[in-house]
Amino acid sequence: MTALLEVSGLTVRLPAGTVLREISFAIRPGEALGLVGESGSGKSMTAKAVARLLPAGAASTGSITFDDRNVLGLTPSELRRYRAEVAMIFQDPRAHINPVRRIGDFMTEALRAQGVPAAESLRRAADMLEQVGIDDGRRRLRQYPHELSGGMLQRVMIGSALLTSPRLLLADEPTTALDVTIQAEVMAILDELRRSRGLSLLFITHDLELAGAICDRTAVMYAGQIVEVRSSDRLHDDPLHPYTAALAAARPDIAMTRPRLRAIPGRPLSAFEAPEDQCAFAPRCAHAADACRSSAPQLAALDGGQTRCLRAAELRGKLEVIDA
Amino acid sequence: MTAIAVEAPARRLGQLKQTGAAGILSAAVVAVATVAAVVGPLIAPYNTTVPDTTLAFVGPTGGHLLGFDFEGRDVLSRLLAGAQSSMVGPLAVVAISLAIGIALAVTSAWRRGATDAAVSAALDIMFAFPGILLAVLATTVFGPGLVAASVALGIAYVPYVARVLRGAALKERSQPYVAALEVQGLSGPAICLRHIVPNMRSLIVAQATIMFGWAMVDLAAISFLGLGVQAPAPNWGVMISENAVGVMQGYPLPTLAAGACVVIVVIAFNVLGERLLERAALA
Amino acid sequence: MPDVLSVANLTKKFGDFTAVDDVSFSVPVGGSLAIVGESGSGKTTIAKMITGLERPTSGTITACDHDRSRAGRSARDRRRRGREVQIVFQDPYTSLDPRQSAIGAIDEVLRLHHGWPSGRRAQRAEELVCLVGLDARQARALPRALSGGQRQRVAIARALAAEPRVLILDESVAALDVSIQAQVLNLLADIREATKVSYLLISHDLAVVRQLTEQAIVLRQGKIVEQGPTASVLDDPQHAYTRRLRDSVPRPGWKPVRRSSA
Repeated sequence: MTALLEVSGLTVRLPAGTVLREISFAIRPGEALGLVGESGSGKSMTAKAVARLLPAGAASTGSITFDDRNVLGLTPSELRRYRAEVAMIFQDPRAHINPVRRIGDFMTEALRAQGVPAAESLRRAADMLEQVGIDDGRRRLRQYPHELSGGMLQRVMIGSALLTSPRLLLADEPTTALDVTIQAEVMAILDELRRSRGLSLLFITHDLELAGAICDRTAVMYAGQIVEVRSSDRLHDDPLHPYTAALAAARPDIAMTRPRLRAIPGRPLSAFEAPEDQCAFAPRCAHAADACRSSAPQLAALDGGQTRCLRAAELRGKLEVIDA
Repeated sequence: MTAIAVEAPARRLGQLKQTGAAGILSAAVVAVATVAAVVGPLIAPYNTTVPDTTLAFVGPTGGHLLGFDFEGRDVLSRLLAGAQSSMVGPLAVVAISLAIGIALAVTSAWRRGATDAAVSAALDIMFAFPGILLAVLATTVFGPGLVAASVALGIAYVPYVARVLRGAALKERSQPYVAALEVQGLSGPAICLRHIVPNMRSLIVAQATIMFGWAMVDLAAISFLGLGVQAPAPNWGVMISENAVGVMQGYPLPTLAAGACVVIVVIAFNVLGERLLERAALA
Repeated sequence: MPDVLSVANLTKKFGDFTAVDDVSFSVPVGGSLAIVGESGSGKTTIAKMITGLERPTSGTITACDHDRSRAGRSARDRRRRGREVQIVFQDPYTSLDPRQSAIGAIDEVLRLHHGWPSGRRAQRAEELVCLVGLDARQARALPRALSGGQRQRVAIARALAAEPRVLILDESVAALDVSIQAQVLNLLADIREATKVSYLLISHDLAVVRQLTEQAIVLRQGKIVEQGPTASVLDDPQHAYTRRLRDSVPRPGWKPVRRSSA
């Protein structure tokens, strides 16, 4: 199956430094890929690169291919069409919706721009609201953003994104700012709608388990690089990269009190600070060897996944895993 | 988290570059005017008060780059000497309005509720009085001179200062670090003086710079009307009015030179103040 | 065991809206209690009332055997209360004065509470900096040069400088990266071990609650719906809301389930 989205060797430089290094991954039609990382890992920047929303002054090398089209080289009119096919939702819905316009205006904007008559656009919007679990769609469409709670507004954003029938949805931490019960609800809606429409999804989060919940595969990022890609159900119990294992082990467990958490020493390296000539994680890694500090590992295939670790093969089965 | 810490130095450098040619030029003019205000009377090459009517309105000759004024005194020297009274007045205005304005803004922001409402209402009333009107009234009551005019103007500017600073003070007051200090048991006045006001520093400086320009115009106007600095003391506003007869007679240079000083220095303060305001907003 | 903090029938109304409704709980000396809730539960309002940033409509709050249900009358009262209960806020980026270094912030607190000479204050400040795991450079740096986790350590050190008996942690680790959160949670456990301070943890994160507390109360729309030992509340919740809360937490193998419409 050919990939719908293929990112290959993507390197992005900002005036302040390099934010993404040699990012390579692919998403098949209908597949959901989770992108997990801490601050400075570059996960948000990756989504922005795919969405062509990089900040001014960003220089990109490498390639992003969507349905065999070169994303980085799209003309303005091609870009408009691209935006109908690749939608994005963000962490804070209030920052991405005009507070002085009604929900209905916001939701139908893209459709009306495509030439769909206003009445028909509103009908589709009301339909979509019902699908995302908002009752009384007609009334809601006449309301303003401040009249809706954060969770409801995020559902509106999801609905709006899906109205143009995109083929790929980019979700940048869409539930981080929501209460945990609302998060569960919004995730369920996202999962259900994605599957029913065969939509591809790039889901960005700092929460490993959250990504695992709705994504087929999960990629872990550190210091501007992808360090592991693995099917989600195997990621937690059988990680390939020491960072993934350490991240999973550092999280407290709802089912028990551990005498001490396995904290990773030091702090997450941002892409700006990552060295070019050694493994970026080596200073904090419990399994680092001399080779790790003298050469930079490449992303290599291993047991159905990929990992950027020189010692991955010999560490199989030895990476710390805390049982739930 | 780390990314932000690394970006900050680059961003600050960018802000400096942003100040641009206009900002640097304005800062230079302000610096020159300040130096002139301090040492002007000492470095003025010729006498500034003794008249010699035989030299009235003679044009630029020899060492007299700007010629003579209506009483035969060297214009350049008068301008240099006049810088002092032309800048000291606005300085007093700014000092008075800042002192009262900061106190009102911070107290209002700290106490909130009824105090804030009362202060805001009082400020609204004060807005109704134009500064110059108040200054003229003051000189009528207390006699002409820089002191009465400056004090009156300083009071008239209070609502502008207080309004701008109140917003910033409210924002600081609602920050968690202020709450943390309250929980520690630090008193309101101590928190305001040691933490809130210092964190508003860049805004205060920007606002003061802009107001200096306004005050200069207003005081020049007052002196022009004869209600501020009294002749024969050198002052740019006075010089504009006392040399005005020269324009009709074909000797516009003394008046224009004095006017130009006011205009250039005021613009410089305004431009510098706006730049500082932009930087304060970005901080 | 005597209680270092106890709250009885605490209520807070804002006009018609009741944010906190008849809440009672207590924290034993050296103990650790969690207030679990989502937005609108009233948990932050309770923290504000205990620290004196908000006044209760009714009910009593007692810390270290002193009543603190009403505002402190004198500066001395307020300072004494500062030595009883302290707080660490959620956002590391706004809970420190941007113009003050860690040493500066700690020194100010020490000057406020103790009449010590500067030498002794400096020594104590160094001890606290060490306790929270900051090095010399970080202690003297301004907040903008520190990461979120480092700033939170400064906030903890500043709170501990007052030597409080109760430390309120208002979502203090929620804004931190996972790996940093683990470090700070370990640090908090160590501090409690060393100083016997009691914790009141306000959090929506059930895993953090499990790791750090022995007792828990669950708040929903201002009312307590469940309370008891943390382990029981999380392993065997009695109230439907607590069950729902627990079932919403992502964990290995978890799948979100859709409920009724909004």
